[in-house]
Amino acid sequence: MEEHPLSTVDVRHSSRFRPERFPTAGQNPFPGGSIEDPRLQRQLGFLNAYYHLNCAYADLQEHRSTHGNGGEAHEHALLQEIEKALLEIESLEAHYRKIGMIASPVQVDGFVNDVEFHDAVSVAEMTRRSPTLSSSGCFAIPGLAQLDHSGRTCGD
Amino acid sequence: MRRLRLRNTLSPGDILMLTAAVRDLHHCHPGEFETEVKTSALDLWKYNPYLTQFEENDANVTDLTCHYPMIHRSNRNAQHFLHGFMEFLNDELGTNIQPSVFGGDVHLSEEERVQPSPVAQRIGEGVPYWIIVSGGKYDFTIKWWEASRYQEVVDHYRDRILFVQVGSKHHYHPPLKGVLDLRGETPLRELIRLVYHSDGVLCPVTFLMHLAAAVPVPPGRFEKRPCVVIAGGREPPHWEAYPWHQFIHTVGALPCCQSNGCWRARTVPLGDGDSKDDPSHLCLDPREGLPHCMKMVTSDEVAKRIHLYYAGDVLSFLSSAQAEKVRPLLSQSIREKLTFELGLPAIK
Repeated sequence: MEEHPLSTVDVRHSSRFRPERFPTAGQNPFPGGSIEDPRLQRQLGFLNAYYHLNCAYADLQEHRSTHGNGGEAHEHALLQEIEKALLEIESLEAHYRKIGMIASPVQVDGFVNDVEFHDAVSVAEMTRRSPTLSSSGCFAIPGLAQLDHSGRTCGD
Repeated sequence: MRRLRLRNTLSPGDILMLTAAVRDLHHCHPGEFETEVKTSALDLWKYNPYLTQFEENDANVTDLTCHYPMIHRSNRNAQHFLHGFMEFLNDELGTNIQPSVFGGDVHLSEEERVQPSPVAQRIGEGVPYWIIVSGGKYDFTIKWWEASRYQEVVDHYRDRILFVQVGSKHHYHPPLKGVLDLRGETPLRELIRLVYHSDGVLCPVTFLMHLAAAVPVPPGRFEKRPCVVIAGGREPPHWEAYPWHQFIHTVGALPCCQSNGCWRARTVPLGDGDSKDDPSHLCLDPREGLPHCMKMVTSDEVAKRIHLYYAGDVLSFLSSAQAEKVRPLLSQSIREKLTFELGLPAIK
């Protein structure tokens, strides 16, 4: 599938990168270097977007602590940055929904410190490690080939 | 007395259909059989009065791995999923099992019935609610409807219906806002209790629709629990639907399911190594990530089907006091959380 544009960039390569604002992925630091695996690229897209949100939120907090209620024009610009980051996140969610990817942010004091990722591959890996987790692995019915060629179950 | 050990390791919905077959085996052939089960989703059998436990090496036990080959004739025969295991047992045992009840057979203990619902335990008092399932397992993604459409239905009924979102954390259940989020928090017996106390269920074709029909209703309510099923064109409606459910399907309306359910598995390949990524299992008409048949089902249509139960006085909406009580427990999107934390009516 075509990847979302945000999944093809890495904010960590920016000269103004603020590492403390970049969330972890499933409580682990996200791998560095060139990201080739499509699953990791998709995760990177979300981490990029949440990084933007964290930076915008931090800038707004700092502005409010130094200017109080003053500097309305600047405050408006900072809110627009938050809005832009939220739209990025929503766009990523919509783009990757069709393949069943869920990115759940863990938010502490307004900042997203960690993002948990969930998709078909991670579930398949979990199920392989612990086969009793899902009863849905049973698709083919033994002996069914003699009855029919489709291996059909309701899967309900 | 013939002794049967019945086996099956398919999904919970399949096991639920087997509970019906066991009930009706005893109903149609009283005193002729003793039954033991070795299945997945064993909690579905708790408090079941038709079960016996045999010695593992009992030579008098007939061991049967149960199938429902009838499914392969489901597009031609006017029969329900309920008939599937019954036909199999009739063929194997020479019996004449017929359904006595339109639904599976789930039993609750007296303690489970009188305990407050999982929702009441969280809110502090009993309030009416619907259960909502916004996704499903990764093996049959063709059953998924668009999460934003589920959200539109929830938003439509804001302050009138409390939706309680459920789903296994090992499956795809995109988060909704404005719901009581119990995803990953309802082991099977807890889910059964949740269904028992619920006013209704909104879901795709999945275990929950069968559970909605199988779990009894509390005293003082109408006999059958409302349920709206977003079905599209995968299954022939007569195979899945219950008469009192609103089963929204498109069979007959599209070339790919014009005369039959398509029985396909996935909308797009997921790359997880599952054989259901094979083109022979993929949707023939995907539209922007949704099967065309599911895209044809609008949130307005779903909202209307829910409303039927209220228009007909089978259900009542939340009172304003109940809506107020529920509001602090409802899930929020990150946008809503930030809007609240920043003290603004809306970021935009």
